[in-house]
Amino acid sequence: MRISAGSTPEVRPFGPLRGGAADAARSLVASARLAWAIEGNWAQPVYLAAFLIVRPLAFLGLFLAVLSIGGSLDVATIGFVVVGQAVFQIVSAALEGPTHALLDDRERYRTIRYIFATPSSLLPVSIGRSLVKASIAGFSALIVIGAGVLLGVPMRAGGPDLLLLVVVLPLGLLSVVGLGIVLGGICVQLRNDAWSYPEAVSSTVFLLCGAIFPLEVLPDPVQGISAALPITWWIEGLRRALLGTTSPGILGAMPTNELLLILAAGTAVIWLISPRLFVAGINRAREKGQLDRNTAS
Amino acid sequence: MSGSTSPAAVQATGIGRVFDAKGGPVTALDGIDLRIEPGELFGVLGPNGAGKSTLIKILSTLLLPSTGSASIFGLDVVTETARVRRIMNLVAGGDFSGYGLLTVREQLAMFAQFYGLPYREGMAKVDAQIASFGIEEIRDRKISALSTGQRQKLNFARSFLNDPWILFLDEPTIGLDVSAARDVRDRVRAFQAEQPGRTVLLTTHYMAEADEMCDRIAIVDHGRILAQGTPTELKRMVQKDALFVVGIDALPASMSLDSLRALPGVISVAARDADGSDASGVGSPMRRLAIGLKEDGALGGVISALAAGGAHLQEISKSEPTLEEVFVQLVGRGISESDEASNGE
Repeated sequence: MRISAGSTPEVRPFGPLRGGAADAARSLVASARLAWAIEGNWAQPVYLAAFLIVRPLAFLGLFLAVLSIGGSLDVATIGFVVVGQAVFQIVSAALEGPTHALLDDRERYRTIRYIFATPSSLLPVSIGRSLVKASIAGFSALIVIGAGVLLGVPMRAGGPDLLLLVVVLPLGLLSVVGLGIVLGGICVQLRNDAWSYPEAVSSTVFLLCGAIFPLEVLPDPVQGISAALPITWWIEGLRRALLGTTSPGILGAMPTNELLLILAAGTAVIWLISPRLFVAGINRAREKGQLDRNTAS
Repeated sequence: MSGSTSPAAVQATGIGRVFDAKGGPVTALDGIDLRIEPGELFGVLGPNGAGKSTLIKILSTLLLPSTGSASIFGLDVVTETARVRRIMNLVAGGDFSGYGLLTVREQLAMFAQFYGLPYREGMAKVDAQIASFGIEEIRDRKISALSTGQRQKLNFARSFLNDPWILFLDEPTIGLDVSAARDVRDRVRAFQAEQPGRTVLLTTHYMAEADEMCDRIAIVDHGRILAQGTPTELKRMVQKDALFVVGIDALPASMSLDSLRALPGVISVAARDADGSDASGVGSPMRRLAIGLKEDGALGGVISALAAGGAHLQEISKSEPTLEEVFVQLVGRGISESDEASNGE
């Protein structure tokens, strides 16, 4: 299209208009490729192995050791902890992913200004990066579950409940990514020390969501918060799909169809709110001048 | 706002920006009014901390103004950001941005996707830009292994991917060697020459770069535009009269400087030695006369008078002030002093 003083850019200079969804999908795929290049780039395979295999197994061993001191280490308990610990590999990666992507681009790669100044939203870019981090963490989750099998955890007879798994897994992943982008929208408004905030949130959620102990251990008011977290129901859904058993207490008392309803509703609510909060956070960072300001130097 | 009804490439009205800082609010921009026409190469000249980058950030939708409004080709930079971003691009100098793990081609391909180009079309544009910038030999090299000049070429190649109507260049040649800086300037000129209407807003604190490249220049300091106009117009601000240096073998004995000063249109006449210093004494040998005229046309009378007196003309040159002199007059200090002052803050 020819540029002239009288022309207005109703049409993109490089061609016909394309849909917003198509643009978002392109940006998501491009950022996922980038995340794969970044996350998969380990100078030494041994470091990658340490991060993806040794680290989650070390934590699993730690939790099991603590439980064994209390004398409550039976296969059911091990199964409870194994699934919780496995899923939480994904949870922490997805929760921290958007924040780390935004701060990486701002502080380390210094590309955020160039990405922000494209027609693409930072939202699909952050989601793409987060999903890849979560997928790589999924490898760690499989390692933990494999370790559980070796420890004698009885898995569901006849294999995992694939139907339940297919429904629960994406719903839960979506809910965590949704919470992650809210965190990203908050942390991008902050200075360089925001790196550690998602980890703090992730650790808190870890305590609240019944990953390593039943909710009944928590004080009553805190149990309410736990029940409001879709992650709590995600982990319980995955326990049912993988182990074929329910957890003790209020989690186990919930019928599976109601559990799915809660998880779906929670995910829907998160996705109704989280993109708006993310955009509001980005706009606030833009207003404060924090969006492309390198705060580390 | 000017009387023109067609959208300006850039229209800024009363743009102000205040940052919160530990010591209290800091005013980076204070009521910037600007109109840049399509096709112009407009320079913003000022020392470090003058507000140049803040202005570019606001116009390129990276930052919100505290006050005022701005539009790009009629699109508001605050409320119509998505549309503005389709028609503009941005290059900053002196930064080491980029994903070191990606190759040149991979990074360009990624940005092509962010610019909304379908994969095949995007890759075709990527390869075209790689060829255009002559960086084929580094297309598969990782960005971490690029030199500063190569990174800046990559940055420019990225900025051309979406065929922008307006290009914001924030100190694009800072840190580059002479050859790389010349390449950048040539590319910017070629970019504008390829299609009429393409507009460039360039910030710089290199006087020669601004003088050489820009159609118009705004001189900014402490967040304010002190003056704007063509380089010639700005220079006339400090030297309203035409100043010529006339080289002659000697001033004829029958003439004096006063007699030259009495000629129509002549404002001032001063004798200068070859080294430029003032000479004194009528009739003493001299080679150059610095002659101030009300207008260029008055020079004819002076030359005729000198020739009639028997002087032999050896050279004539028009003396113009430099942008540095304009800057010093407007800001009250040299740009290098200003940079030292802001660095020391």
